[in-house]
Amino acid sequence: MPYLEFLNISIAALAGCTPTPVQTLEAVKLSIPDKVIAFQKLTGVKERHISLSRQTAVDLGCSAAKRAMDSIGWGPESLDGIIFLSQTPDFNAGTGNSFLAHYILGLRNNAFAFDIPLACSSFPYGLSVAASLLQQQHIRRLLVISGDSQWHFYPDGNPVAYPNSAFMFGESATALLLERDENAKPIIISLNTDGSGYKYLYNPLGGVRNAWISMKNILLPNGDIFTSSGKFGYMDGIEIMNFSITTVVDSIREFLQTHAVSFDDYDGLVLHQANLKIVKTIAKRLGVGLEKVPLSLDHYGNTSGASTPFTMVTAYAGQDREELALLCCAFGTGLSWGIASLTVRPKCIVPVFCSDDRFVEADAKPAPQP
Amino acid sequence: MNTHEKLAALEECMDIEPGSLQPDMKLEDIEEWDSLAALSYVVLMGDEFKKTVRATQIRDFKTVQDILDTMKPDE
Repeated sequence: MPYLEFLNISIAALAGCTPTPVQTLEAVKLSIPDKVIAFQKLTGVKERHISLSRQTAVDLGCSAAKRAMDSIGWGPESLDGIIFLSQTPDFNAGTGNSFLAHYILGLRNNAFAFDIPLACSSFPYGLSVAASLLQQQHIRRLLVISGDSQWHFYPDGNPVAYPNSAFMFGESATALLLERDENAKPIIISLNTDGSGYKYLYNPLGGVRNAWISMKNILLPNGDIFTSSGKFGYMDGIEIMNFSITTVVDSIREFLQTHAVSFDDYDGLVLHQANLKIVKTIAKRLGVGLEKVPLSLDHYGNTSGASTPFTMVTAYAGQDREELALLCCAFGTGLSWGIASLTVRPKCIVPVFCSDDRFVEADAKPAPQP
Repeated sequence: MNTHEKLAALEECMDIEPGSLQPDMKLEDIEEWDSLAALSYVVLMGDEFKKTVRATQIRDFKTVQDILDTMKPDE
């Protein structure tokens, strides 16, 4: 079991940002089918923020990063690199969101930038990569941005007008500033994969392998028929439920046993906000009271890769405690999951804020008429 | 769990009136047996019987009895 242990890395700042427009379930109830309303019992989402001005993960991520850097007085020239965790690039995958963020924030040219295109499981991965790089003598400060965009999944980019999709996803981005600190508390991480589960949560037509296909219905490896509709992907709900409430739970138990700790040693269990049923079932199976398991999905929805650090922001910013010991677990597409045991000082967390900022330079504009 | 208790648990999964399910009912005639009910059933099986249900098993269910037959601990 490859556990990663870091004894000299601390969280200098963490900020979370969300688009301003709020969509409440109450307001859209009349225009969406009963089936979708029933689904809300499972998701637990009462309201969500989704951009109506086409902000991307880059826009939200840079807003969060600026706020995090301002909160501790770190200028862009002091950062040695940036890692962007996202599955929704502004452009093509190779022109990573990290490059845009590097430019927008004004990092030095000898500071690196790269993307990790993971989905909901990204937080422990990004943390482990950044903490590993920070072991290098000349790398002292790193920025890790998490964020995914949702509005583009909806026709015309308008989630309000699209009644048949579940009221489940929202948008947020977080910025995590890490530094080497010889007095830091340990960070312990486990990273896990079940590649055989690739077929349970993916977009079969999203990449190269099936790019030649023009028919609307295709037979998937697990026997299901997938009907291509816009940009939405495929999910085998049963297998994803099994994965979340069995495999993930077993891994958390194993993590605790290996390190001879229990939930009494932690102030909180921060879970990826997949949906309410999954969060509650994981907590119940682990025997953790819900008062120790913070929720952000009720007001912000499932915000994909950012949801784990974003929940730390919504739950712990401004708490009157010197430090908090947290067990974080993020899981999703891959199948991929990770667990991170860490300590955070609430005074280093910037409270959630809304942003409408956009990086307009990169927007496509009509070509001038000849 | 006896059969009565199992039926009651399934009715809760489907969010329907107690007493409305019979073992010989065809699932295709039960509107409430949907993906949401199936997820509740998956959680129930794990909690009560420590069993993991595969998606293919659920697709093969034809009647309420087929589901009842799975509601026991692994031999």
